[in-house]
Amino acid sequence: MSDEFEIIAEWVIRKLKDIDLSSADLTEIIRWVLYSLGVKDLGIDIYLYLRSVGRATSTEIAEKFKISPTTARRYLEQLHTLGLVDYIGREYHLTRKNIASCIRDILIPRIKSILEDIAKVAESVYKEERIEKTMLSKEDIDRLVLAPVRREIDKTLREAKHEALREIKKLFSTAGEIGPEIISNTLSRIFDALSESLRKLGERAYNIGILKIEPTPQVRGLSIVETPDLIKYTVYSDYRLQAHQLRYAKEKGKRVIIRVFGTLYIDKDVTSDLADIIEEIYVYGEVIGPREILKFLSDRIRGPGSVQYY
Amino acid sequence: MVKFEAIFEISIKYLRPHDKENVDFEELALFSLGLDDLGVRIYKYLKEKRIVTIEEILSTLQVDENEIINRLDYMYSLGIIDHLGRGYIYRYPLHEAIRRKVVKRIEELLERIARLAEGRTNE
Repeated sequence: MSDEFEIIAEWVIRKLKDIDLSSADLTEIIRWVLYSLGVKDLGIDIYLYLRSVGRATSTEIAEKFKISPTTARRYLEQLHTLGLVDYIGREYHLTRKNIASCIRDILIPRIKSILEDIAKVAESVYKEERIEKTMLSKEDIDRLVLAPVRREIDKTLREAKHEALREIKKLFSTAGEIGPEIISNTLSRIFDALSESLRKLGERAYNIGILKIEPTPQVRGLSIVETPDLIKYTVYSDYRLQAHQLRYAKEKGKRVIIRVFGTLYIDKDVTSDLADIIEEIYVYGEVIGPREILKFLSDRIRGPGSVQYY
Repeated sequence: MVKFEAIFEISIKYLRPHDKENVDFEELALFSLGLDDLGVRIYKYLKEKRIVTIEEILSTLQVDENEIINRLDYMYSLGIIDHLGRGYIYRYPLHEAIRRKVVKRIEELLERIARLAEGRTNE
């Protein structure tokens, strides 16, 4: 320990066998008390001397006890650390004659403060260890999070691809027409599968503490991008556009652009006043909504997809 | 000459690390509570195992049995570890043990000394 740390101050507290108060005189009690506080014989004698003369310099004390001034100061420093002795310049005096009040008012608060400092040091170690324990290595992240999700995404894409090929083969064999609706339906399946895989990735990352924000529930086949003056919806599968979403955009003074690859349903409670903030709906799949609203938006609806009314 | 019999002795130190860049703060805290190098080794071993017997410490650290017992008794009396039957137990993290037990124990000890001093020194 001596190599790493330097002792600035030290308190020794001893639990001694009780003395018989009925037969002990004041000096013996003081000796018992000071020895309990770790003061050795000469230190006790110096305390008793100061108590009898009131005040003395370290040189006077050194002369009295035939010790060097440095040794005298060392004992006086210990008494000072205990709160029993104070000094002005080179002259020392008792802090208070009542030792009990020195212990209660000076020593106990001082020791408690030192112990709280030690506790804080220990607490910082504890917190660091906890962080280390909860942190995963790169290999763990790969093994626990990325590898299973990679497998999941591969599997999903493989299945989606096979399903799309099956659908196309079926269409060709029945000589059906491959329109935007068919392509949109196939695409929406792939997007939904991808979205589900990504949600699982987020959930897994959150559960083991890599992500600190809980992933929001999955909104299937939809992407919403909000900029300072625009909200852009991209609908990959089925999605219902509600009045409150347009009201929000209106309140924020933002325009709305919608790209529809799947099927967009416009709710019946959407008024033309609210629909007016829609700048464009580009349809690859289909849009289904109230006749008066879709008529109102007719010059803003573009693309090869279909429009149907409720 | 001292003629009083000590039952237990606690040492609290205010320490400053020589090398401020490479400080083992756990050791700083333990040395501040009066543990020596062997005491720190035993504490760290107990912290790792959570509960140990003297025999287990003996076979791992290979030091004198009495030396081990002295350190364990000091840590137990201070309040940073528990003792039940043959087992020594790491129950609380060090900072919690200091706040829950060590402070209380030292305060009680000092209050006892103050009470005795008060009995005859309140002049």
